Amino acid sequence: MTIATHYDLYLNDYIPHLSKDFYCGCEFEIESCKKIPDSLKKRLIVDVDHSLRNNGHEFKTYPCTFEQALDHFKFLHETLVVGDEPFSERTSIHVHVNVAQFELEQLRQMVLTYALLEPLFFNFVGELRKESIFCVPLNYTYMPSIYKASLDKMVEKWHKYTAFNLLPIKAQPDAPGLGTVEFRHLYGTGDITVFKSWLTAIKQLYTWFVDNPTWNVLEKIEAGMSPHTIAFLIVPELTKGLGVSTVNEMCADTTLDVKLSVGGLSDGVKKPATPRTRKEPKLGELVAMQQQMQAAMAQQATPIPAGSWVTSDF
Amino acid sequence: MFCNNLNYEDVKKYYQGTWVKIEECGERIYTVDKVTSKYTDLSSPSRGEGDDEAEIRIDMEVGYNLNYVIPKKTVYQYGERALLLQRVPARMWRKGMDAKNTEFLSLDEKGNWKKTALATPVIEGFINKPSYYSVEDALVGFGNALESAALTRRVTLTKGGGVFIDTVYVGKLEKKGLAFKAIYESNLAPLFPPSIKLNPV
Repeated sequence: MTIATHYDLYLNDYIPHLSKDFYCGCEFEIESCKKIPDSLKKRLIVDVDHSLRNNGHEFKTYPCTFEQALDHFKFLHETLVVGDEPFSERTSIHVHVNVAQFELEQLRQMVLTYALLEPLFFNFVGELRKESIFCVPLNYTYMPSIYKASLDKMVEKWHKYTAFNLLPIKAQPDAPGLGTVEFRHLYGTGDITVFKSWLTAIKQLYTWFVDNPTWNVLEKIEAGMSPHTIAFLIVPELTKGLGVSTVNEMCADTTLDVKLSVGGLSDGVKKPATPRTRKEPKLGELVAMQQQMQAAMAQQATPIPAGSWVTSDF
Repeated sequence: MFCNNLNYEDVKKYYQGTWVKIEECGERIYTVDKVTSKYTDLSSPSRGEGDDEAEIRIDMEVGYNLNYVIPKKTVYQYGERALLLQRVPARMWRKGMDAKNTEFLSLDEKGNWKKTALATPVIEGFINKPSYYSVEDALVGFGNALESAALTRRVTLTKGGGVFIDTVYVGKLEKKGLAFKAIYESNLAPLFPPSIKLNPV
Protein backbone atom coordinates (compact mmCIF):
# COMPACT_ATOMS: atom_id res chain seq x y z
CA MET A 1 0.00 0.00 0.00
CA THR A 2 1.35 3.44 -0.88
CA ILE A 3 1.76 6.39 1.47
CA ALA A 4 -0.89 8.31 -0.49
CA THR A 5 -3.45 5.55 -0.09
CA HIS A 6 -2.58 4.62 3.46
CA TYR A 7 -2.83 8.19 4.72
CA ASP A 8 -5.64 9.17 2.38
CA LEU A 9 -3.71 12.13 1.01
CA TYR A 10 -5.11 14.80 -1.22
CA LEU A 11 -2.76 14.88 -4.22
CA ASN A 12 -2.24 18.24 -5.86
CA ASP A 13 -2.00 18.91 -9.60
CA TYR A 14 1.66 19.87 -9.59
CA ILE A 15 2.76 16.25 -9.68
CA PRO A 16 1.56 13.95 -12.48
CA HIS A 17 -0.81 11.28 -11.20
CA LEU A 18 1.05 8.31 -9.63
CA SER A 19 4.41 9.70 -10.75
CA LYS A 20 7.49 8.36 -9.01
CA ASP A 21 9.76 10.96 -10.56
CA PHE A 22 11.65 13.20 -8.17
CA TYR A 23 9.50 16.11 -7.02
CA CYS A 24 10.43 18.44 -4.21
CA GLY A 25 9.34 21.60 -2.47
CA CYS A 26 11.96 23.96 -1.07
CA GLU A 27 11.80 26.54 1.70
CA PHE A 28 14.49 29.22 1.64
CA GLU A 29 14.86 31.39 4.77
CA ILE A 30 16.51 34.75 4.24
CA GLU A 31 16.99 37.68 6.61
CA SER A 32 17.56 41.33 5.85
CA CYS A 33 15.19 41.39 2.87
CA LYS A 34 15.20 44.93 1.46
CA LYS A 35 12.98 44.59 -1.59
CA ILE A 36 10.85 41.66 -2.74
CA PRO A 37 9.88 42.16 -6.38
CA ASP A 38 6.36 41.27 -7.55
CA SER A 39 7.81 38.83 -10.08
CA LEU A 40 9.17 36.83 -7.15
CA LYS A 41 5.83 36.89 -5.34
CA LYS A 42 4.17 35.50 -8.45
CA ARG A 43 6.62 32.66 -8.71
CA LEU A 44 7.14 31.66 -5.08
CA ILE A 45 5.07 31.69 -1.90
CA VAL A 46 6.46 34.51 0.25
CA ASP A 47 5.81 34.53 4.00
CA VAL A 48 7.07 36.69 6.83
CA ASP A 49 8.94 34.42 9.23
CA HIS A 50 8.84 35.64 12.80
CA SER A 51 11.63 33.34 13.88
CA LEU A 52 13.94 35.38 11.64
CA ARG A 53 15.26 38.91 12.16
CA ASN A 54 15.61 42.06 10.10
CA ASN A 55 12.62 41.57 7.87
CA GLY A 56 13.31 37.88 7.47
CA HIS A 57 11.17 35.96 5.00
CA GLU A 58 10.57 32.43 3.91
CA PHE A 59 10.33 31.75 0.18
CA LYS A 60 8.62 28.50 -0.73
CA THR A 61 8.44 26.76 -4.08
CA TYR A 62 5.42 24.84 -5.26
CA PRO A 63 6.11 21.14 -5.91
CA CYS A 64 8.75 21.09 -8.64
CA THR A 65 11.36 18.97 -10.38
CA PHE A 66 15.07 19.00 -9.63
CA GLU A 67 15.77 21.39 -12.50
CA GLN A 68 12.89 23.68 -11.63
CA ALA A 69 14.10 23.89 -8.02
CA LEU A 70 17.50 25.05 -9.25
CA ASP A 71 15.82 27.63 -11.52
CA HIS A 72 13.74 28.93 -8.62
CA PHE A 73 16.86 29.23 -6.48
CA LYS A 74 18.69 31.21 -9.18
CA PHE A 75 15.70 33.48 -9.82
CA LEU A 76 15.24 34.12 -6.08
CA HIS A 77 18.80 35.25 -5.58
CA GLU A 78 18.96 37.23 -8.79
CA THR A 79 15.86 39.28 -8.02
CA LEU A 80 15.70 39.60 -4.23
CA VAL A 81 17.41 42.68 -2.80
CA VAL A 82 19.05 41.95 0.54
CA GLY A 83 21.04 43.93 3.09
CA ASP A 84 23.93 42.84 5.27
CA GLU A 85 24.05 39.30 6.62
CA PRO A 86 21.05 37.71 4.91
CA PHE A 87 22.20 34.24 6.02
CA SER A 88 22.63 34.30 9.80
CA GLU A 89 22.70 31.09 11.85
CA ARG A 90 18.94 31.42 12.18
CA THR A 91 18.37 30.80 8.48
CA SER A 92 18.20 27.45 6.77
CA ILE A 93 16.96 25.67 3.67
CA HIS A 94 14.43 22.86 4.01
CA VAL A 95 13.74 20.41 1.20
CA HIS A 96 10.53 18.39 1.12
CA VAL A 97 10.65 15.28 -1.08
CA ASN A 98 7.49 13.70 -2.43
CA VAL A 99 7.24 10.08 -1.30
CA ALA A 100 3.48 9.71 -1.74
CA GLN A 101 3.87 6.81 -4.18
CA PHE A 102 6.31 4.86 -2.00
CA GLU A 103 5.12 1.67 -0.38
CA LEU A 104 5.12 1.82 3.44
CA GLU A 105 8.05 -0.58 3.82
CA GLN A 106 9.94 1.18 1.03
CA LEU A 107 9.77 4.43 2.99
CA ARG A 108 10.66 2.69 6.23
CA GLN A 109 13.79 1.37 4.52
CA MET A 110 14.56 4.87 3.25
CA VAL A 111 14.34 6.15 6.83
CA LEU A 112 16.70 3.44 8.07
CA THR A 113 19.14 4.02 5.22
CA TYR A 114 19.10 7.74 5.90
CA ALA A 115 19.70 6.95 9.60
CA LEU A 116 22.77 4.90 8.67
CA LEU A 117 24.16 7.62 6.40
CA GLU A 118 23.14 10.59 8.56
CA PRO A 119 26.73 11.50 9.47
CA LEU A 120 27.46 12.06 5.76
CA PHE A 121 24.55 14.46 5.46
CA PHE A 122 25.89 16.39 8.44
CA ASN A 123 29.41 16.20 7.11
CA PHE A 124 28.16 18.04 4.03
CA VAL A 125 26.46 20.86 5.93
CA GLY A 126 29.20 21.18 8.55
CA GLU A 127 29.59 20.34 12.20
CA LEU A 128 27.91 23.54 13.33
CA ARG A 129 24.55 22.40 12.01
CA LYS A 130 24.66 19.42 14.38
CA GLU A 131 24.41 22.00 17.13
CA SER A 132 21.41 23.69 15.58
CA ILE A 133 18.34 23.36 17.69
CA PHE A 134 16.13 23.05 14.65
CA CYS A 135 17.74 20.04 12.96
CA VAL A 136 18.82 17.59 15.64
CA PRO A 137 20.58 14.45 14.38
CA LEU A 138 18.46 11.33 14.91
CA ASN A 139 21.56 9.69 16.36
CA TYR A 140 21.57 12.17 19.28
CA THR A 141 18.02 11.31 20.30
CA TYR A 142 15.78 8.45 21.40
CA MET A 143 14.71 7.87 17.78
CA PRO A 144 16.87 4.75 17.18
CA SER A 145 14.87 2.94 19.86
CA ILE A 146 11.76 3.22 17.64
CA TYR A 147 13.41 2.06 14.40
CA LYS A 148 12.02 -1.42 15.02
CA ALA A 149 8.48 -0.06 14.90
CA SER A 150 6.17 0.07 11.91
CA LEU A 151 6.07 3.29 9.89
CA ASP A 152 2.79 4.25 11.58
CA LYS A 153 4.33 3.90 15.03
CA MET A 154 7.45 5.73 13.94
CA VAL A 155 5.41 8.71 12.78
CA GLU A 156 3.52 8.75 16.08
CA LYS A 157 6.77 9.18 17.99
CA TRP A 158 8.59 11.43 15.52
CA HIS A 159 9.45 15.06 16.15
CA LYS A 160 9.46 17.90 13.63
CA TYR A 161 12.78 19.38 14.71
CA THR A 162 14.81 16.33 13.81
CA ALA A 163 17.06 16.94 10.82
CA PHE A 164 15.15 14.31 8.86
CA ASN A 165 11.47 14.97 9.45
CA LEU A 166 9.03 12.17 8.77
CA LEU A 167 5.91 13.94 10.03
CA PRO A 168 4.74 15.59 6.77
CA ILE A 169 3.90 12.23 5.23
CA LYS A 170 0.53 12.34 7.01
CA ALA A 171 -1.84 14.97 8.36
CA GLN A 172 -0.89 16.32 11.79
CA PRO A 173 -3.13 18.28 14.17
CA ASP A 174 -1.54 21.53 13.00
CA ALA A 175 -0.62 20.68 9.41
CA PRO A 176 -2.08 18.91 6.38
CA GLY A 177 -0.56 15.66 5.11
CA LEU A 178 1.86 16.44 2.30
CA GLY A 179 3.15 12.99 1.44
CA THR A 180 6.69 14.30 1.86
CA VAL A 181 9.74 13.80 4.03
CA GLU A 182 11.72 16.89 4.95
CA PHE A 183 15.48 17.42 5.00
CA ARG A 184 16.15 20.34 7.37
CA HIS A 185 19.94 20.22 7.54
CA LEU A 186 21.15 22.85 5.10
CA TYR A 187 22.16 26.30 6.34
CA GLY A 188 20.91 29.44 4.63
CA THR A 189 22.95 30.20 1.53
CA GLY A 190 22.77 31.93 -1.83
CA ASP A 191 25.45 29.67 -3.30
CA ILE A 192 23.93 27.66 -6.16
CA THR A 193 26.83 25.19 -6.14
CA VAL A 194 26.12 24.24 -2.55
CA PHE A 195 22.37 24.00 -3.10
CA LYS A 196 22.75 21.96 -6.28
CA SER A 197 25.10 19.51 -4.61
CA TRP A 198 22.76 19.16 -1.62
CA LEU A 199 19.71 18.61 -3.81
CA THR A 200 21.66 16.10 -5.87
CA ALA A 201 22.42 14.03 -2.76
CA ILE A 202 18.77 14.06 -1.73
CA LYS A 203 17.67 13.10 -5.23
CA GLN A 204 20.19 10.25 -5.26
CA LEU A 205 18.76 8.87 -2.03
CA TYR A 206 15.22 9.10 -3.37
CA THR A 207 16.06 7.63 -6.75
CA TRP A 208 17.82 4.66 -5.18
CA PHE A 209 14.57 3.59 -3.57
CA VAL A 210 12.59 4.09 -6.76
CA ASP A 211 15.07 1.89 -8.64
CA ASN A 212 15.51 -0.61 -5.79
CA PRO A 213 12.12 -0.86 -4.10
CA THR A 214 12.96 -4.01 -2.15
CA TRP A 215 16.27 -2.74 -0.78
CA ASN A 216 16.71 -3.78 2.84
CA VAL A 217 19.57 -2.01 4.55
CA LEU A 218 19.67 -4.33 7.54
CA GLU A 219 20.13 -7.36 5.32
CA LYS A 220 23.09 -5.63 3.68
CA ILE A 221 24.65 -4.77 7.03
CA GLU A 222 24.18 -8.35 8.23
CA ALA A 223 25.73 -9.59 4.99
CA GLY A 224 28.81 -7.52 5.79
CA MET A 225 28.33 -4.59 3.41
CA SER A 226 30.21 -1.62 4.83
CA PRO A 227 28.69 1.84 5.34
CA HIS A 228 31.12 3.19 2.74
CA THR A 229 29.92 0.74 0.11
CA ILE A 230 26.30 1.55 0.90
CA ALA A 231 26.98 5.29 0.79
CA PHE A 232 28.94 5.03 -2.43
CA LEU A 233 26.06 3.13 -4.05
CA ILE A 234 23.26 5.35 -2.81
CA VAL A 235 24.56 8.88 -2.23
CA PRO A 236 27.89 9.15 -4.08
CA GLU A 237 27.57 12.95 -3.92
CA LEU A 238 28.19 12.77 -0.18
CA THR A 239 31.22 10.48 -0.36
CA LYS A 240 33.27 12.82 -2.55
CA GLY A 241 36.70 13.31 -1.03
CA LEU A 242 36.07 10.84 1.79
CA GLY A 243 38.11 7.66 2.20
CA VAL A 244 36.69 4.23 2.92
CA SER A 245 37.81 4.13 6.54
CA THR A 246 36.65 7.69 7.15
CA VAL A 247 33.11 6.89 6.05
CA ASN A 248 33.07 3.62 7.97
CA GLU A 249 34.24 5.33 11.15
CA MET A 250 31.77 8.18 10.71
CA CYS A 251 28.91 5.70 10.42
CA ALA A 252 29.95 3.23 13.14
CA ASP A 253 27.52 4.65 15.67
CA THR A 254 24.64 4.92 13.22
CA THR A 255 25.26 1.34 12.06
CA LEU A 256 24.44 0.29 15.60
CA ASP A 257 21.34 2.52 15.45
CA VAL A 258 20.11 0.64 12.40
CA LYS A 259 20.85 -2.72 14.02
CA LEU A 260 18.48 -1.65 16.78
CA SER A 261 15.68 -1.87 14.23
CA VAL A 262 15.91 -5.63 14.85
CA GLY A 263 14.89 -4.93 18.41
CA GLY A 264 16.06 -6.74 21.50
CA LEU A 265 15.95 -10.16 23.07
CA SER A 266 12.24 -9.87 23.76
CA ASP A 267 11.47 -9.15 20.09
CA GLY A 268 10.78 -12.28 18.10
CA VAL A 269 12.84 -14.72 20.13
CA LYS A 270 12.31 -16.51 23.38
CA LYS A 271 13.14 -14.16 26.18
CA PRO A 272 15.58 -15.58 28.70
CA ALA A 273 14.66 -15.68 32.34
CA THR A 274 13.42 -12.33 33.51
CA PRO A 275 15.82 -10.19 35.48
CA ARG A 276 16.06 -11.24 39.08
CA THR A 277 13.34 -9.97 41.26
CA ARG A 278 14.91 -10.69 44.60
CA LYS A 279 16.54 -7.76 46.33
CA GLU A 280 19.74 -9.42 47.42
CA PRO A 281 22.24 -10.50 44.74
CA LYS A 282 23.47 -14.05 44.58
CA LEU A 283 26.80 -13.22 46.04
CA GLY A 284 28.15 -16.72 45.86
CA GLU A 285 27.36 -16.89 42.18
CA LEU A 286 28.98 -13.54 41.47
CA VAL A 287 32.08 -14.39 43.42
CA ALA A 288 32.33 -17.73 41.61
CA MET A 289 32.10 -15.99 38.23
CA GLN A 290 34.68 -13.45 39.30
CA GLN A 291 37.06 -16.20 40.46
CA GLN A 292 36.52 -18.07 37.23
CA MET A 293 37.36 -14.97 35.20
CA GLN A 294 40.37 -14.09 37.31
CA ALA A 295 41.69 -17.59 36.81
CA ALA A 296 41.22 -17.23 33.07
CA MET A 297 42.89 -13.84 33.07
CA ALA A 298 45.81 -15.05 35.11
CA GLN A 299 46.75 -17.21 32.16
CA GLN A 300 46.90 -14.15 29.94
CA ALA A 301 49.94 -11.88 29.61
CA THR A 302 48.40 -8.72 31.02
CA PRO A 303 45.79 -9.24 33.69
CA ILE A 304 43.40 -6.39 34.41
CA PRO A 305 43.96 -5.18 37.97
CA ALA A 306 41.00 -5.71 40.24
CA GLY A 307 39.00 -2.56 40.80
CA SER A 308 40.36 -0.83 37.72
CA TRP A 309 38.22 1.57 35.68
CA VAL A 310 38.24 1.85 31.98
CA THR A 311 37.87 5.50 31.12
CA SER A 312 37.25 7.18 27.86
CA ASP A 313 37.24 10.74 26.59
CA PHE A 314 35.03 12.00 23.85
CA MET B 1 27.05 32.25 20.32
CA PHE B 2 28.58 35.63 21.11
CA CYS B 3 26.31 37.30 23.67
CA ASN B 4 26.22 41.04 24.16
CA ASN B 5 23.80 43.91 24.60
CA LEU B 6 22.90 43.88 20.90
CA ASN B 7 21.43 40.39 20.99
CA TYR B 8 20.47 40.04 24.64
CA GLU B 9 16.88 39.24 23.67
CA ASP B 10 18.09 36.21 21.70
CA VAL B 11 20.37 35.23 24.59
CA LYS B 12 17.42 35.46 26.97
CA LYS B 13 15.26 33.32 24.71
CA TYR B 14 17.94 30.70 24.12
CA TYR B 15 19.63 30.48 27.51
CA GLN B 16 17.70 31.94 30.45
CA GLY B 17 16.69 29.15 32.81
CA THR B 18 18.99 26.55 31.24
CA TRP B 19 22.16 24.76 32.33
CA VAL B 20 25.42 25.63 30.61
CA LYS B 21 29.11 24.99 31.05
CA ILE B 22 31.54 27.92 31.10
CA GLU B 23 34.82 26.99 29.49
CA GLU B 24 37.01 28.94 31.88
CA CYS B 25 35.32 27.48 34.96
CA GLY B 26 36.30 23.83 34.63
CA GLU B 27 33.73 21.09 35.01
CA ARG B 28 31.24 23.11 37.00
CA ILE B 29 27.72 23.54 35.62
CA TYR B 30 25.89 26.86 35.89
CA THR B 31 22.29 27.90 35.50
CA VAL B 32 21.62 31.07 33.53
CA ASP B 33 19.48 32.95 36.05
CA LYS B 34 18.80 36.28 34.39
CA VAL B 35 19.63 37.98 31.10
CA THR B 36 19.30 41.74 30.67
CA SER B 37 20.82 44.24 28.27
CA LYS B 38 23.44 45.06 30.92
CA TYR B 39 24.29 41.78 32.58
CA THR B 40 23.82 38.05 32.36
CA ASP B 41 23.88 36.36 35.76
CA LEU B 42 24.78 32.71 36.24
CA SER B 43 25.05 30.64 39.40
CA SER B 44 26.09 27.20 40.52
CA PRO B 45 25.01 25.69 43.84
CA SER B 46 27.39 24.52 46.50
CA ARG B 47 28.57 20.96 45.95
CA GLY B 48 28.83 20.17 49.63
CA GLU B 49 30.79 21.16 52.65
CA GLY B 50 33.76 23.38 51.88
CA ASP B 51 32.42 24.35 48.49
CA ASP B 52 30.76 27.72 48.15
CA GLU B 53 28.02 28.61 45.72
CA ALA B 54 29.60 30.14 42.60
CA GLU B 55 28.28 33.13 40.72
CA ILE B 56 29.28 34.72 37.43
CA ARG B 57 28.19 38.02 35.97
CA ILE B 58 28.77 38.67 32.27
CA ASP B 59 29.03 42.32 31.34
CA MET B 60 26.90 42.50 28.20
CA GLU B 61 28.66 45.65 27.03
CA VAL B 62 31.85 43.63 26.76
CA GLY B 63 30.12 40.40 25.70
CA TYR B 64 31.09 36.76 26.03
CA ASN B 65 31.16 33.78 23.70
CA LEU B 66 28.73 31.28 25.24
CA ASN B 67 29.39 28.25 23.11
CA TYR B 68 27.90 25.48 25.18
CA VAL B 69 26.36 22.69 23.12
CA ILE B 70 23.97 20.04 24.40
CA PRO B 71 25.93 16.78 24.30
CA LYS B 72 25.11 13.85 22.07
CA LYS B 73 23.51 10.72 23.40
CA THR B 74 25.68 8.86 25.88
CA VAL B 75 25.60 6.49 28.83
CA TYR B 76 27.75 7.26 31.85
CA GLN B 77 28.17 6.07 35.40
CA TYR B 78 26.57 8.11 38.14
CA GLY B 79 27.11 6.54 41.52
CA GLU B 80 25.45 3.14 41.74
CA ARG B 81 23.57 3.41 38.47
CA ALA B 82 24.21 3.91 34.79
CA LEU B 83 22.56 7.02 33.36
CA LEU B 84 21.58 7.68 29.77
CA LEU B 85 21.59 11.23 28.50
CA GLN B 86 19.76 11.87 25.25
CA ARG B 87 18.35 14.84 23.43
CA VAL B 88 14.63 15.28 23.08
CA PRO B 89 14.06 17.25 19.90
CA ALA B 90 11.48 19.52 21.50
CA ARG B 91 11.48 23.08 22.79
CA MET B 92 14.30 23.66 20.46
CA TRP B 93 14.75 27.37 20.85
CA ARG B 94 16.55 26.55 24.09
CA LYS B 95 20.28 26.29 23.45
CA GLY B 96 21.25 25.46 27.00
CA MET B 97 20.22 22.19 28.59
CA ASP B 98 16.79 22.06 30.18
CA ALA B 99 14.25 19.49 31.29
CA LYS B 100 12.40 19.57 27.98
CA ASN B 101 15.24 19.24 25.50
CA THR B 102 17.44 16.81 27.42
CA GLU B 103 16.43 13.59 29.10
CA PHE B 104 18.31 11.65 31.77
CA LEU B 105 17.26 8.04 32.38
CA SER B 106 18.70 5.85 35.10
CA LEU B 107 18.87 2.06 34.94
CA ASP B 108 17.90 0.09 38.01
CA GLU B 109 19.02 -3.43 38.89
CA LYS B 110 15.95 -5.01 37.31
CA GLY B 111 16.51 -3.36 33.98
CA ASN B 112 13.98 -0.53 34.20
CA TRP B 113 14.91 2.82 32.73
CA LYS B 114 13.42 5.63 34.77
CA LYS B 115 13.47 9.36 34.18
CA THR B 116 15.78 11.20 36.52
CA ALA B 117 15.22 14.81 37.46
CA LEU B 118 17.70 17.19 35.92
CA ALA B 119 19.94 18.54 38.63
CA THR B 120 23.37 20.10 38.67
CA PRO B 121 25.20 17.06 40.16
CA VAL B 122 23.59 14.73 37.60
CA ILE B 123 24.77 16.90 34.71
CA GLU B 124 28.19 17.36 36.26
CA GLY B 125 28.47 13.58 36.50
CA PHE B 126 28.45 13.56 32.73
CA ILE B 127 30.66 16.60 32.26
CA ASN B 128 33.39 15.17 34.52
CA LYS B 129 34.82 12.75 31.95
CA PRO B 130 32.48 9.76 31.95
CA SER B 131 33.91 6.58 33.44
CA TYR B 132 33.18 3.03 32.36
CA TYR B 133 33.28 -0.30 34.12
CA SER B 134 34.85 -3.43 32.78
CA VAL B 135 32.53 -6.45 33.03
CA GLU B 136 34.80 -7.97 35.68
CA ASP B 137 34.66 -4.90 37.89
CA ALA B 138 30.95 -4.53 37.37
CA LEU B 139 30.41 -8.06 38.68
CA VAL B 140 32.43 -7.25 41.77
CA GLY B 141 30.41 -4.07 42.20
CA PHE B 142 27.14 -5.99 41.93
CA GLY B 143 28.19 -7.85 45.06
CA ASN B 144 28.06 -4.50 46.81
CA ALA B 145 25.71 -1.61 46.15
CA LEU B 146 26.12 -1.27 42.37
CA GLU B 147 22.80 -1.64 40.52
CA SER B 148 23.88 -1.09 36.93
CA ALA B 149 27.15 -0.39 35.15
CA ALA B 150 27.97 1.65 32.08
CA LEU B 151 30.34 -0.48 29.97
CA THR B 152 30.65 1.87 26.98
CA ARG B 153 28.96 5.02 25.71
CA ARG B 154 25.99 2.86 24.64
CA VAL B 155 26.18 -0.48 26.47
CA THR B 156 25.07 -1.15 30.04
CA LEU B 157 24.88 -4.19 32.33
CA THR B 158 22.51 -4.58 35.27
CA LYS B 159 22.87 -6.47 38.50
CA GLY B 160 20.12 -8.78 37.24
CA GLY B 161 22.28 -9.62 34.21
CA GLY B 162 20.40 -7.54 31.65
CA VAL B 163 22.50 -6.12 28.82
CA PHE B 164 21.25 -2.99 27.09
CA ILE B 165 22.23 -0.98 24.04
CA ASP B 166 20.75 2.45 24.70
CA THR B 167 17.42 1.45 26.26
CA VAL B 168 16.98 -1.73 24.21
CA TYR B 169 17.32 -5.03 26.09
CA VAL B 170 19.66 -7.04 23.88
CA GLY B 171 21.24 -9.67 26.12
CA LYS B 172 21.19 -11.60 29.35
CA LEU B 173 24.24 -12.56 31.35
CA GLU B 174 23.65 -15.72 33.27
CA LYS B 175 25.60 -18.65 34.65
CA LYS B 176 25.77 -20.50 31.35
CA GLY B 177 27.03 -17.45 29.52
CA LEU B 178 25.82 -14.42 27.65
CA ALA B 179 22.64 -14.94 25.65
CA PHE B 180 22.24 -12.10 23.19
CA LYS B 181 20.67 -11.12 19.90
CA ALA B 182 23.18 -12.28 17.32
CA ILE B 183 23.26 -9.07 15.29
CA TYR B 184 24.94 -7.28 18.19
CA GLU B 185 27.87 -9.72 18.45
CA SER B 186 30.47 -7.30 17.12
CA ASN B 187 29.30 -4.68 19.61
CA LEU B 188 29.10 -6.91 22.67
CA ALA B 189 31.70 -9.67 22.27
CA PRO B 190 34.74 -7.41 22.77
CA LEU B 191 33.38 -6.26 26.11
CA PHE B 192 33.04 -9.69 27.70
CA PRO B 193 36.08 -11.73 28.76
CA PRO B 194 36.77 -15.06 27.03
CA SER B 195 35.70 -16.94 30.14
CA ILE B 196 32.11 -15.93 29.48
CA LYS B 197 30.53 -18.14 26.86
CA LEU B 198 28.75 -16.31 24.08
CA ASN B 199 25.35 -17.71 23.16
CA PRO B 200 23.92 -15.75 20.24
CA VAL B 201 20.21 -16.31 19.58
